[in-house]
Amino acid sequence: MWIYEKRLQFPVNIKETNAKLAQDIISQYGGPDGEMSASIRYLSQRYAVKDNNVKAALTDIATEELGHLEMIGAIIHQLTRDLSIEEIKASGFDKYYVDHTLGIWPMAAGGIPFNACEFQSKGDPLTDLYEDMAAEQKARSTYDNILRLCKDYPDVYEPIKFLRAREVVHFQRFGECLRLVTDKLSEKNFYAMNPDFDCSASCVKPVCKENEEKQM
Amino acid sequence: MSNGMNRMNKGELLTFIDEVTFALDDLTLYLDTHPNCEKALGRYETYKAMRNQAVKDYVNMYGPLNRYQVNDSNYFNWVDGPWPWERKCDC
Repeated sequence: MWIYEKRLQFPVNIKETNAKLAQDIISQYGGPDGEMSASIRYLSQRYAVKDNNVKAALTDIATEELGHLEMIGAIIHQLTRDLSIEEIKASGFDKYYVDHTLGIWPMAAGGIPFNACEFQSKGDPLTDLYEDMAAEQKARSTYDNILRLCKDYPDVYEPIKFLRAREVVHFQRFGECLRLVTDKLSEKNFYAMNPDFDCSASCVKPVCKENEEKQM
Repeated sequence: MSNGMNRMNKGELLTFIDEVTFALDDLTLYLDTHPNCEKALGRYETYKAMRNQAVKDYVNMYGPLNRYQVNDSNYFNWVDGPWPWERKCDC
């Protein structure tokens, strides 16, 4: 369950509209490495996890990503609010405007609609945590690209810089999660199995410390 | 009203809440993978107390931050703007 708090994780107050920039930043709303992909990926991965620390980290990082999705929505909204039809035509925003007016719709900067394939939930915590570490790096690279495009717009630059820094922290935490999962595996079988699926199957030879201890 | 916070206007108090809550957000992720770290637990307690007081002050003076904090029996002031995605000067 979630409780909505009426504030952003980091404030967004953009004085001047810029529809061109909005079309770049929308990738972090509905693009391949955006906040929607991240939040639902982590929430969905939780069910296959046995480690309580990893369950907590996935829950709390996913919750933060939902807050980031809201921040990106706020940035796009404020960059495009009250645009005139002349501004829409001049900025190339007309292609988006035709289908969505000034509403927010999840898509990549190149116009590709949001794709649920980005969620990447494999049911194997090792696979998923490697995915998540890569996802945080990809999101960080995307924010680096956006930062180069918005250097002259401090109102946009500051919240994007904040979001970029969070990707670095999440990468670190997922790295620790990976370590927590591998620490519970037999060193002979580190990457040869699915720790949650195989450890619970009675037909499988001892592949996690728990089973090894039982057999001793 | 706690010391220091009584001099803050609505915007300043919300910024203060944003800051202490962010400290808690970051500590939460750290504690998820280091649940026995005494130093982090101590900081969590400190920021939690600061947040609780600041949120209490904010709710009393400016209205609810979440829907369980509505305390007006005549009007559901949860609906009042500005909402978080709106520019501050909209209000």
